[in-house]
Amino acid sequence: MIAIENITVQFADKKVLNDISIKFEQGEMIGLVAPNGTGKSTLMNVIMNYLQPTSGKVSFNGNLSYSSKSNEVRIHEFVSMMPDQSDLYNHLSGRAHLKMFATMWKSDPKLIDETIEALNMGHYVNKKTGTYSLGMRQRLCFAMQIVANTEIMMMDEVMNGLDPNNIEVISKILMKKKAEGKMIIIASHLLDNLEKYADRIFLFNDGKLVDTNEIIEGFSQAKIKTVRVKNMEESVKALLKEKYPIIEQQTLVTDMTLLHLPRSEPMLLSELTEFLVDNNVMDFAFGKVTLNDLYALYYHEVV
Amino acid sequence: MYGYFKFELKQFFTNKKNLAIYFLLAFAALFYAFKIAPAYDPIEKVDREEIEARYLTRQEFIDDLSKRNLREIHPTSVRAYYDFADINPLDKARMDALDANDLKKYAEVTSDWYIQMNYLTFYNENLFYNDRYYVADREFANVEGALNAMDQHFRYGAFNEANYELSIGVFEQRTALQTFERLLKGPLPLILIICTLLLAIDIVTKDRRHPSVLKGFPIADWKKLLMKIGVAFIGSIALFVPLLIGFMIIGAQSGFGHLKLPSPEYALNFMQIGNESLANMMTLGMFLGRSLSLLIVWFIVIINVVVLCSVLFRQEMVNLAVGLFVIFGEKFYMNRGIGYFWEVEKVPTTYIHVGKVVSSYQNYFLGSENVDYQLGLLLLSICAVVLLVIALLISLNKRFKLVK
Repeated sequence: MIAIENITVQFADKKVLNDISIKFEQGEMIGLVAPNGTGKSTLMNVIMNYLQPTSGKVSFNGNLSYSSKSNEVRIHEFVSMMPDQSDLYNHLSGRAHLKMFATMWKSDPKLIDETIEALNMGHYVNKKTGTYSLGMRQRLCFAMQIVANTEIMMMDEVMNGLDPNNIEVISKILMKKKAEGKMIIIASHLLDNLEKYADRIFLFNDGKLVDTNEIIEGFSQAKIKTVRVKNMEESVKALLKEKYPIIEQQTLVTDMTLLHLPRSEPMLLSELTEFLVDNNVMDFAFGKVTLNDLYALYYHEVV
Repeated sequence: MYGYFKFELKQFFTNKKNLAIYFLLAFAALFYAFKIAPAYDPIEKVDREEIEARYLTRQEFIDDLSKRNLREIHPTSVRAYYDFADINPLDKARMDALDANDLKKYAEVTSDWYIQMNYLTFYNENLFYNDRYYVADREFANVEGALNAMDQHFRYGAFNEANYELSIGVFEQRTALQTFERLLKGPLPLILIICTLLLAIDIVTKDRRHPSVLKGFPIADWKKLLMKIGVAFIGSIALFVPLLIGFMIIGAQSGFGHLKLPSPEYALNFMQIGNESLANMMTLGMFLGRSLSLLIVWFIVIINVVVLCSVLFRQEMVNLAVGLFVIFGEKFYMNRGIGYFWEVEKVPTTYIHVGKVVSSYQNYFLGSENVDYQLGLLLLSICAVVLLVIALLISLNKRFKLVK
């Protein structure tokens, strides 16, 4: 368990993290979503003690905090952060990197081959990392953390540079780790994927963490409360507003119009479908606000 | 922790810069073994023709003067007549021993010959040592000649009591072990210490190229520093591997020598001719053991200097500058006879010329009785410990980050 208490990180006049207090539990997958430079990585660096907060403290499992160098070592025995692909040793093989992490965290050496197989790295893992593509390096970095097998894993932009197949493979491994009771904290821009697997997703606003459920009630529940319409004409929007004033409309920069239903009644859904079809709107979907939508909404990217 | 050690060790021995150092050293060792060592031409060598030429010239002079009335001859000629009469039987005995291949006998009479010749030459401004001592810029050629003569006197004295096989190569110090001895009294310690500096220079700072890989390792910074020091130390010891190649080649060419061979330890008043208590005779094994122990402590000092500078400044160029300052620090004060005025024996950098310190040549050069191998070992060990303790104390600070 991680307890973040009143963490503030300030650079000159800018408060990157502003009095953040929150708890993360084992077995949870936490998503951190925000535009660049808003504090995702800073928060992770504070959790790892790579960065000293201006005020506040982070404690683990109740009472263990970064109060001394020896505590830092004890914490790092069960907390790890995925390495950055640009920091790999180009003259060493992928397998050497995996061995290095398995040795440092004294994890089961069998994990190395299991992870190589699970991530389909067998054809390149024995070559020097200097010859790897971006995606191969990213998979290796992910594999390194999986091999470390710590109780708390933090990953910054883990899906960067990966094709959809590999994203799916990594997601499955993450779910498996979560099922093993590990806490996984992911900062990512690949919002669809995060939405699918994360238990809780947080956005950053003015240095504060904001739970997505606080922005849109029941965001994490599977209820149809939104109709997403692509390229909706203005005349249809006006007509809809006139006929259904209780339905709130929001158009995003992606030309996606969100129709927020006050409730998910079958009658209302049926009527709305009929209305859209009658007005030649064919590209729409029922569901809930996606994380992509929420991201656009929250960071004011609304037309 | 062992895993981290192995990881550091692997990095060290796959580092291109380090491999280049080992390769260059191996190349230098090969070049030395094949080109320089065979061409070694000592001033004091076993040369029957030279002995015979000198002997015949003197004998002719003696024969000539013995037929004349000495009262009618210039006093210097008379003196030469008596001196030559003393020395020539020794030269004759040396030639006879060489003809009979009786090297033990040769050693016995040559030891006497050197003491006799030195006695005659050093106090006589009309006589000189071998011409090759008198070269440009050698201000103290006469003293060097006397020193070498005494060195030879003591060595041949020890050869006379040898219970191992003697050879001309042993007399001329051409064997592999004796070559190593000569090199330790020359530039080899400096070369190896500089190599150690270059090997260790990035042992800490290289980590900044891989921060996110290394920062989270669950190992305390002070332990990481100790592991790095250990790895750099092993790397510096590995410098002897390329040298070993050269050693084996020289051994195959000129013999390996013997650890019981003599190696004189000079005293300050070494050249008070005839006073044999003024030199202690070490075995070559003892000389090498002492030199290597001093050299190894130097390796540790230099590695600790680099580690401390890395912790404080995090710049390889600073490591290089400070390391070179330590290595060449003695240049700022070193002068012949300076030990008479200043207590240079209390400055650790005085002990950089490892072989010269162990043989006590530095005593003679500095005019100090106190530049002692054991004192050097103690001072350098204290330096190494102090540097290490400071670096470790800094690394124990809560705000310190080894990798940023």
